[in-house]
Amino acid sequence: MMRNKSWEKPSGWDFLLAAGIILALWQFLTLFFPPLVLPSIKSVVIKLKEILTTPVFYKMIGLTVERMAIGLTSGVLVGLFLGILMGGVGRFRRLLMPMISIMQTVPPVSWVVLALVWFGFNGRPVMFIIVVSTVPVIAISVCEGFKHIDSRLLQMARLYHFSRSKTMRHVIFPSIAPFFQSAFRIALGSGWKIAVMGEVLTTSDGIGGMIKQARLNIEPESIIAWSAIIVGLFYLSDLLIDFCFRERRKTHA
Amino acid sequence: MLEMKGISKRLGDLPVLSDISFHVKEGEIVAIIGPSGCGKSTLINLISKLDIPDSGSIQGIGDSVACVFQDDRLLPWRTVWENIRLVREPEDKGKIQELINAVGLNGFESYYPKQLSGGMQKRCGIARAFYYKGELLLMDEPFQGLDYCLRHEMLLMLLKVWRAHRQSVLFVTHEIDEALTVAGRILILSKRPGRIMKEIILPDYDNRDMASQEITTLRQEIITFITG
Repeated sequence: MMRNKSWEKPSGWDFLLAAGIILALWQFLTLFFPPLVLPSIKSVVIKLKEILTTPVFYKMIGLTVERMAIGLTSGVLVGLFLGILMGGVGRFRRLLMPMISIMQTVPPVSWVVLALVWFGFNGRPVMFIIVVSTVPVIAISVCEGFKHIDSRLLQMARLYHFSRSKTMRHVIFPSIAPFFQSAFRIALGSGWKIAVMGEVLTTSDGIGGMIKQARLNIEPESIIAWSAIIVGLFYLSDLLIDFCFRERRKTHA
Repeated sequence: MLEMKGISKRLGDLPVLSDISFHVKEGEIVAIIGPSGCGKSTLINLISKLDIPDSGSIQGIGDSVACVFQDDRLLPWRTVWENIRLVREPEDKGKIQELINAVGLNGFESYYPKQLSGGMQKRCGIARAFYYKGELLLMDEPFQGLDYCLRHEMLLMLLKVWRAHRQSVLFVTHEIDEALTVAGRILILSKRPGRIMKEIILPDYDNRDMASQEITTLRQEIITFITG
C-alpha cells in the first residue's frame, strides 16, 4: 500500500531542526528574564552534566524506571485481558465499557490523592496511577480491534476447522495487534509523565522526587535538566518499542 | 460423494435457491454456472456448512470441505508456507513443497501475501485448498478479477494440480469458458430463485478442443439458457 509521504515519521534531521529552533528561542528569551525565572542553556547543561556524573542519579532513574515498568506491565496485562473479554463477549462489553469510560474520565490527580490514602507516601501510588491510566487506553483499543477483525478470515478459519486457540493465535491476535500497538505507544508516552507527576506528589525519590527537591530549592535549571532526562527516557523507550514493532510493519505495510 | 436433494433457501423474504438437486462424483469437476445473483455463493455457503438450508438434504461429505474463495482469504501476517501449513496437522513438508511447486510458487515460500501479485495469491489459496485434502473442494469464482491470459494460465494450472490429486471439485463461476475448460459436467442455474435448468456433459479432457464446433455449440447453448 502506498503511504502518504507527509505522514512519515520525522527524521533525525527534523528533530535536530526542531531542537535548534527551541534552543534559539530559549536563548533569545533569557535576554528578557532573570535566571531564577528562565535559566540559561549553559547553566542547564552544567546541571545536566552534574546530574549525569553523580551516582545518585542512577539510583533515582532506576526507581522511576522500575515503577514505570511495573505499573505499565500490570496496566497492559489487565487492559489486554479486559479488552479481549469485552471484544469477545458482548455481555462483558456492555457491562465493562461504562465502568472503563468512567475510570478514564477521573482526573489522574484524584487517583493520586486516593492512592495516597490507600497506600501511603511510598512508590506504590505512582505504580497505581500508571495502572489506572493504562488500563482504559489498552482495553478500549483492544476491544475496538475486535470490531475490525476480518469476518472472512474467521469464516476461513471455521471452514478449515481451526481450533479456538489456533483461531486466537493466527486470526484474532494478529488482527488486534495494530490497535494494541498504537494504544501501547500512547500509554507509554503518558506513563512517563504520570510517573513523574505521581512522584512529585507522593514521594521524595525517583526523578519526580528530584524535581520536587529542585522546586523547594528554587533551582529551575535543575527542573529543566531532570525534565530533559525524562524526555530522553521517553525517546529511548519509544525507540525500543519501534524496534520491536518494526518487523511487523515491514511485512504488513 | 456429494449428494444434494431438494435444497431450498431464502434470505429473509427473498427466495434464493429453489429445489436444487445434483451430485458430484469422486474425482470429478462439476461447474455450476449462472447469472449474477442466482444464488451460487449461497450454494457454496450451504455445502461448506457456513449456512443451513431451509429444506432438503446435503449428504455424502463430512466436515472436511476445502474452499478457494472469490477473495483469497490468506492470513496477511503469515507466509505462503505458513498459510498452507496451517490448514492441516501434522505438517507434511513434502506435500506442501510439492503443491507449492505445482502451483508455481517455488522460491516464494517465505513471502507474505502482500508481497505477491493477485495471481500468486490465488495460487497460494489453491495450494492451501488441495493441501487440506478435504472430501470436496469448492471453488467460488476463484479467478474473478484476473485478466484473460492470467485466468487461462490459472485454469491450466488448476487442471494440472487436479490431475495429480484427482479431488472432487465443485467449481462455481459465471464465466462460460472457465466452465468449458475445467469441468467434466456443467450445471446451469436459472435466475433467482436459482434452480438447475440444464446439465451438460462435456467431452473427455484429452479430446476437448476449445475451438471445435462441439464446444462452440455448447457455449451457444449455455448463453441461450443463461440469457433466457
